[in-house]
Amino acid sequence: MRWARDRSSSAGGLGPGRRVGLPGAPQRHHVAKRPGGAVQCDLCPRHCVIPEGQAGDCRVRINRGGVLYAVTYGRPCAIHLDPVEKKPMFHFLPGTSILSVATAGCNLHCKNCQNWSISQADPETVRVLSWTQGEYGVSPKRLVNLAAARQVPSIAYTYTDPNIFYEYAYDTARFAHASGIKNVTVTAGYIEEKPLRRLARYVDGSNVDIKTMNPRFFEENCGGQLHYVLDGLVVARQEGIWIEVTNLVIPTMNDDPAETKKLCQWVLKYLGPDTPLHFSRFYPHHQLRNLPSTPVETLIRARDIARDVGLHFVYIGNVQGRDFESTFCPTCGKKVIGRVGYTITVNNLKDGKCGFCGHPIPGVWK
Amino acid sequence: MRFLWTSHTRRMEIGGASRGGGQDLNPNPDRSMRRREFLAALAMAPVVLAILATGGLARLFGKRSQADAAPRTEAPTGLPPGAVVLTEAELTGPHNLAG
Repeated sequence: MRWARDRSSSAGGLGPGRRVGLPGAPQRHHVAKRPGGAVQCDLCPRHCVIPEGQAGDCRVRINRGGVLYAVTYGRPCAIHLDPVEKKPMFHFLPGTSILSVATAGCNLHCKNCQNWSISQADPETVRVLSWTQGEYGVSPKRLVNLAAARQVPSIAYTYTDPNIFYEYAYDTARFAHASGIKNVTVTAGYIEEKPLRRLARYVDGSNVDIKTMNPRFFEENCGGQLHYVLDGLVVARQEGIWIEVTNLVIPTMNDDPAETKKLCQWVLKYLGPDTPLHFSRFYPHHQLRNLPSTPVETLIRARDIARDVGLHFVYIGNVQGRDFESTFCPTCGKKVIGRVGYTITVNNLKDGKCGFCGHPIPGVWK
Repeated sequence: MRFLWTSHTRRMEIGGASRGGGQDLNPNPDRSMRRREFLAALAMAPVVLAILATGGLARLFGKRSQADAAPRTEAPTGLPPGAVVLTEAELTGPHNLAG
């Protein structure tokens, strides 16, 4: 595959500030004019006030002549066909593939980011596929066509964060729904309420990271305010989006049992006991390469805490060879959906109910 | 090429006449060699044209990927006219992405 830009894709680079920029698409919603030719982006809680010729914190929204441009519109840096279990979405069309799309940039800057090479890079320096050249290289319709041609039932906006390529995700999601294709966002949930509600009309499922319940850790590690994420989750639930929560357990950083318990109690209270919760194993990445991988015992302890709190569907991810990812019926305890890695080994789900006792298993099953 | 060759030939003939008074109209020993080179170049022309016609410059100066070489298939029934279906090799990007 040839690349449109064959320069380094290493993270860092220019960051927010003055740059030439790519053409992009104008941001027409969630933006306000400010004195002196500046514009304010109201997509995420940062509310960046961006002077002429400069980019916001996310690097991908640039003020050009008093108009804010989303320069990654139609310029995906990754398109994959993944198992839906990889997102992870375990109660969402199990065993199907999902067309997964990302563009460069992110509005959070997590030190542990696993996809830092694209999330923390400038859009001008991230490799973009050669066929995405042009004003809007891969249009939303083209993405939907691709999913339809592959008979893929859903599209995921993932890897970085759909809040960054909001317009692209929104347009694609709209076309996808019109074609009978579902939409999934995999996100850190750092978005304002209005744009979230607007996008939610076309979103069927979402995996949201609750990175911690410690606001200070969230600020120091990710550069954001935690309460926006939690508020957004409540809004997403109100909008009827099927939500699964992921918590990446990082040794010494957010693995305290008391914090885990607090997280589980919050999920139970605001999202309900049937919300799937994924404890994901940390591997050294980006700026936290000094830390070891999460011990499996820590993850098992977290799972047990969640079950004790009252959550019905708790999973452990990024651990191979153990039966941590199967769905068990909360009533009869039998295995309803068996998973090994990203493969479905057993599916005893009948019309959204346990095949053994008939207890409803919540999720998006068709 | 043809014009240049004709002009060159004429110059040689004129030069020979001026130097040798017509005794040696073809004093340049390289001339026959140049003619052979010209004929060889002429013989190569169809090959060059063929390479150009098949987009061979890219093959000569850069490796083409399967995705670039693969024909884009038409959109299946039910899709908007002119829709393009991407090939398998076009589903790509950085590897080992989480999420």
